[in-house]
Amino acid sequence: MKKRIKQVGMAQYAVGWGDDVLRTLGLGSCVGVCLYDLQVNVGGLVHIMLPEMALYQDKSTEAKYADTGIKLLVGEMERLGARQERLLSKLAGGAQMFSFPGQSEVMRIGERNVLASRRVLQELGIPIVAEHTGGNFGRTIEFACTGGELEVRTIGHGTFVI
Amino acid sequence: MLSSLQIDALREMSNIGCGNAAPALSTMLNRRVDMQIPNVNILPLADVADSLGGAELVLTGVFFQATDELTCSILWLLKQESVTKLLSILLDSEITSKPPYSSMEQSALMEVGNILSSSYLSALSTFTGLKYQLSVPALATDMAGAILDIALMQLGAYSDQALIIENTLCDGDESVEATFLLIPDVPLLERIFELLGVA
Repeated sequence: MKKRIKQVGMAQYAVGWGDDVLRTLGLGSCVGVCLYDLQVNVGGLVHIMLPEMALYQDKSTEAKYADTGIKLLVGEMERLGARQERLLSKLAGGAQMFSFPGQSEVMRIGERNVLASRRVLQELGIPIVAEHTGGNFGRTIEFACTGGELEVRTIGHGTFVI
Repeated sequence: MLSSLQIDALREMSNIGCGNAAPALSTMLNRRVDMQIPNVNILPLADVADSLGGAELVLTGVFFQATDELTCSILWLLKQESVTKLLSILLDSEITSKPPYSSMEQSALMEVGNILSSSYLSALSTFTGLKYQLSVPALATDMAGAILDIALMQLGAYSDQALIIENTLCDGDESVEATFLLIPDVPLLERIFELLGVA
């Protein structure tokens, strides 16, 4: 099968299988949540921006929020033969790019995105196998749908495979 | 959707802000500074980084938040060549600055951002009669996509579309170019349209 790379923009998601690679560029406070099912080689990636739909006005895009985005992704992956109880996950992103003295809640959105993602995954019974989160730097990630290997690239903070 | 009248009003407003910021930059650099015609861009959140040269392009951003009535985010974006040039002028040095920038270099960049943002907002405040309080500057040099996250987040709470007022200042020989992004929050936009009679 030919390797396909699917790009996932802010507040978007993608699913793939086999040799598909899902990529998202320049994650800052956003979090890339990657799910995979090793038995059927199906993977999914959602680029979430905010922690929880109920807290915000816009209800049109499920992929924007950790709670609705992860649930949406699980549903889409099940249509490709994955099963929620077999899913594993990896997380990347959730940085705090700018810091101000007397940090406001708003500025700590990266951390809140990570916490919300962990909480939702726990609710759904999906183990977190690895994560590369926090810090004050951006990340580009590439996720292999088969095997679930996640490559994290940064500017000046190294490249990691988790 | 915005009407063309509303877009014109935003463009005019940004002209007034930048019209005040350009001379401030000119004084600081002791050289002529030109202002390009502002763009009012309405585009999907996912496309904003691409419109600025791609999510992985390394930029330096100086970020501010304005509160009180003029509630908006302000982001000054500079490409690496511009940062190097700007620093050599400001610090009067021949050294080629490269990231990670020293704390002295960072302070110089944040101070430029501070002066530009203050002059922009004070003109806007006079024009609209709205009050504002400007945060201290924060600086990051990283991928464009990552730098934009925080500025887009507040819009993301309301919509999938980003409204960005983009204005570029450059010096005479275009070796220093700063792109100014003003990202008003949704309540502010409504207020501005009302004030300008284009609601």
